[in-house]
Amino acid sequence: MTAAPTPRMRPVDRLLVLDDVGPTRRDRIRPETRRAYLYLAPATLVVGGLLVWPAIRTVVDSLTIGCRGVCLGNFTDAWSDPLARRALLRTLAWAVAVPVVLTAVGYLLAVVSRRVRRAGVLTVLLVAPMALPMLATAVAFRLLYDPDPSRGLVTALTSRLIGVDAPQALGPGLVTFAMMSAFVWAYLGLSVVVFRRVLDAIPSQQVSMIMAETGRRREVYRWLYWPILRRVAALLVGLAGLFSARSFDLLLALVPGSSQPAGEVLALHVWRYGAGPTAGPAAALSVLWFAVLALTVVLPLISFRAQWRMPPVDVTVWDRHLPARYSGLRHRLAQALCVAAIVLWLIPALLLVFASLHADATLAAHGLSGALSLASFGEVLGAGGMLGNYLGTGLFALLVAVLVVAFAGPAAYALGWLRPPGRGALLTVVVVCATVPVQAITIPLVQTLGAARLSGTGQAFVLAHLALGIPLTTALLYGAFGSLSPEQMRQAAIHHGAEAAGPGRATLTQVGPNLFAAGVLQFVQVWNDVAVGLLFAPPQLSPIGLSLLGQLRYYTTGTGHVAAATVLFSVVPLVAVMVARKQIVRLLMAGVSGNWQAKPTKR
Amino acid sequence: MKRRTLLAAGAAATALPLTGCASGGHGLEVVCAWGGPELAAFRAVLAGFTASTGHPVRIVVANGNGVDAMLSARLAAGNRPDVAVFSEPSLITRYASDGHLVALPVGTFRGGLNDFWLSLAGLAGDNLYGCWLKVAHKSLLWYRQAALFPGRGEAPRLEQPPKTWDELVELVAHWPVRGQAPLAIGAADGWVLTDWFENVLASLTESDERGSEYGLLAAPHADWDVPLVHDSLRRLGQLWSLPGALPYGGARALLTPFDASVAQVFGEHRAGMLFEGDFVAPVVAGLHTGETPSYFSFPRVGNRPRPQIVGGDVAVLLRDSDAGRSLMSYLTTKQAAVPWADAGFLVAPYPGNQTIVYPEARLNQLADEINDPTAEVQFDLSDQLTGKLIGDDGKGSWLILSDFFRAVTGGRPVESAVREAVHQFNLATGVAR
Repeated sequence: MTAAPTPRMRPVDRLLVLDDVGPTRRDRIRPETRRAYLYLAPATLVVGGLLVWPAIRTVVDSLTIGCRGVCLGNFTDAWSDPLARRALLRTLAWAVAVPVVLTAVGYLLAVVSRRVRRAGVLTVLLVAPMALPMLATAVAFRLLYDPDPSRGLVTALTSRLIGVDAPQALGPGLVTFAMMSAFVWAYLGLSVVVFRRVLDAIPSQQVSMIMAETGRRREVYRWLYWPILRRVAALLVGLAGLFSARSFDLLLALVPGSSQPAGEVLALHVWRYGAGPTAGPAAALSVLWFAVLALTVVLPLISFRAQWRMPPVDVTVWDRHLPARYSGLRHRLAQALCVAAIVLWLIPALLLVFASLHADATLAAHGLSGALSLASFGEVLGAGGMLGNYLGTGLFALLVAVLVVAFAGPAAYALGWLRPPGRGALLTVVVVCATVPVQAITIPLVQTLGAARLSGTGQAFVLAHLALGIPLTTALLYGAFGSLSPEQMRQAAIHHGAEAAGPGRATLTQVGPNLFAAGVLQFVQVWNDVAVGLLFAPPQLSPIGLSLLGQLRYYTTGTGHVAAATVLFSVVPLVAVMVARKQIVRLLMAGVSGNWQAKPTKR
Repeated sequence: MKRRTLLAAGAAATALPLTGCASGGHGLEVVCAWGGPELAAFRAVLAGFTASTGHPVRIVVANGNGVDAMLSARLAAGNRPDVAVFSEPSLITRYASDGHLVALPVGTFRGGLNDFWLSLAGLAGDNLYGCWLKVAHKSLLWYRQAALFPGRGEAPRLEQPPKTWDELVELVAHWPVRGQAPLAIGAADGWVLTDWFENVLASLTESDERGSEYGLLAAPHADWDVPLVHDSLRRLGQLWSLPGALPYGGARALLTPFDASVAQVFGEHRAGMLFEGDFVAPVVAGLHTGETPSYFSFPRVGNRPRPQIVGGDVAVLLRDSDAGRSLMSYLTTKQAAVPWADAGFLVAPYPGNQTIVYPEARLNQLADEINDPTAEVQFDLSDQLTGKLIGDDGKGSWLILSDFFRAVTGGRPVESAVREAVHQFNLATGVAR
């Protein structure tokens, strides 16, 4: 990397120089600029037209609706509306609290998981909820927090502990806490797995050398663990856009109507107030929301520019750096924590499955203690058109996944491997686009697709998903392409023939698993979606998420079949993610460890 | 309101469109937001139309946000359907004034409707915009016969169901059945609360040369700071805040959706009575308790007439064609009404439909009540509101009423809660700032 260790270098850099025996990265011919732009063009067209343009329109709307010319009236109106102001502040609180909790608890559990045997069980359990639709999480937690003690586990426990007047988790006072707990349940696995992989990848040699050089444990934390912590935290903050958009499903499905204002975040607020007399202030709020999200992605970009390079991660080896011994107080403590986490993570899922094994009438009359039956599954599977809904949703999700990879793959190849001029700026745009939630650009997006005479068609549905999916997929694949070394490429080329035209077989061999993983993630995203379906599902298609949301209106008298439908809805993404889990982790790791420097160091 | 949303719910599988693919004739496209039994009945209606005229009809179900959202998008795209079904008459006014609707000669399409239903269907001079499909009765209190009037030698717990508001208050204050609270209210759904409010408003409303006070509230810039609104809210607040009125208190009622409140009465027997429309009966049937629910009409308030709140679905024509006009005129016939009645829905108020016999005696009674000349018949107000008062979860009139409910059941003095609610209504209409 650098020429020679200088006396003022950080200990970690010195070690890296010792470690850095791999080939240099920049020994290729000049970037093929024109080819790169060609590969970028299709993705740019879709994202530019259906994401960037509606976003610009939202900004323009916020400054012009209800004004003569340009004014800030919509911003002051939004701020003076207590409902809107609280939604904005709550969104800010989410953007801070969720990454902080995920980072802190995730790091703790990752460390703990290294100190116990068979930590794989814990990891799988933690990761599985991430594959579930947010709607399924919401249903599981609605069961958990049901205000009726004969159905809600938490209510039953608290009313036994505190007394009859236990505060209701879904009431206005605790609703944000209830939503966040569901959120952490869903996404903690991400942070644990990423931390765990990174911790595993730190060569013990580095630790001992820093110890030898400085003689202080603290220095190890300072030079090795702290940068890792920062990077993963940054990754989680960078996903704040995704999280923000997802809190929408949670609020709609978990929170009873009367409590919704008390937990309302911008995702739902701008959705509800985006049209009609409140369109101007809603546009202003969308712009503020953009600003918050854009700020959150600046952090990871800065963090990823850090000089420290992560060692290559071998994800095929699981427990490679086992601690020396499994005994003592620390070990027992770790074991206890592990067991507690496993139990906590199992409860909502088991509750959901258990509820699905009751008939609706039994649940309504006797709660969860009623007789078990498969009637609810029978009812869901027997409903007319059920199979059509599943096939339709699956086919659309598959189509979108293939198209997103087809658009994002070449773009990522161009950015990560061909590296044309202006790449840094483009990359920033990609990452910012990846954070744009659909709710913030709803109205202009509907108008744009309407102007293209596509309203109410399958094309509009697919295009909207493409525009929203391409940026994040490009960013993830960029990490994968960016972390390829020329040596790897050369090796592949030798095996498969010359890398003659474009991203040939050689490249594909290297990044094939990454493309597959990105496709699976996109498939799951479309399968699990609610918001895009609400706006754009063509009349021929009733996405499963949407019909489940409709059934939630009958939640109490239909708990059994709602739970059964939720279980059936969740099986597909769960299986998909479990099948592709190795590739997915590798893809995410490439995102963390990839060379995110906007301007590569020239030699 | 929102029978539509409720029933759309059961419809896991509804949205695949029906293509009445008979050959020949002019193909029509109809947009609606129904699912479940309503969609099935509507299909039967349209199948009858296709059989008698030869025009095939394709139903498009508006997913998610409903007919208004779908129509706005399709009008923008220049891809308008032939016919759309609205549950909110306020939409007719808006779409008509934007020039999207085909005006029909009132002489041909009136179908004998009385002035009340005619004006709600969008009457403008000699023109009419809508034809009714079906209606709903929203002024009922439901209870278990076995709890109040057990029979078999046991003394009834009550002489007769309350006829006046004061008797209802008295009954709630001294509920005769041990081990249960008098009222179940699904206050998690704001529309349940607005339906309560509308009934009291309707009963207390007075009419003058400007029309009924109730009707005036539907205007975009209506002033809600009037004695009618204060009085109605005060009475509701007094009833809801009676000690022990609700099975688990107000905070719990606010987490109880409509269907759960039905279960509290007919499944768990934790509450004695439930207020809502004719659509309570199918929910009770879904509980499989084997019990048929009993009901009485919403009592009159003071010396005013009994309130009769109705809702309904109305079809409008968006694209002019002979086939489209013949579908609209078909909807006014008895032939078009029969599938609705068979499915247990109350048919459209055309005089020709009065001879229809429903499968259950209850429905015949309810149909008569809707046309009761001594009652104060009013259309669901929240379906007529516009602008910031349009209701949704946590929004508009729903939000104002659930805040009011939270205040009075949480111990806030009724008078101050009333003032706050009125202020919120006027903030939304722009009268107060």
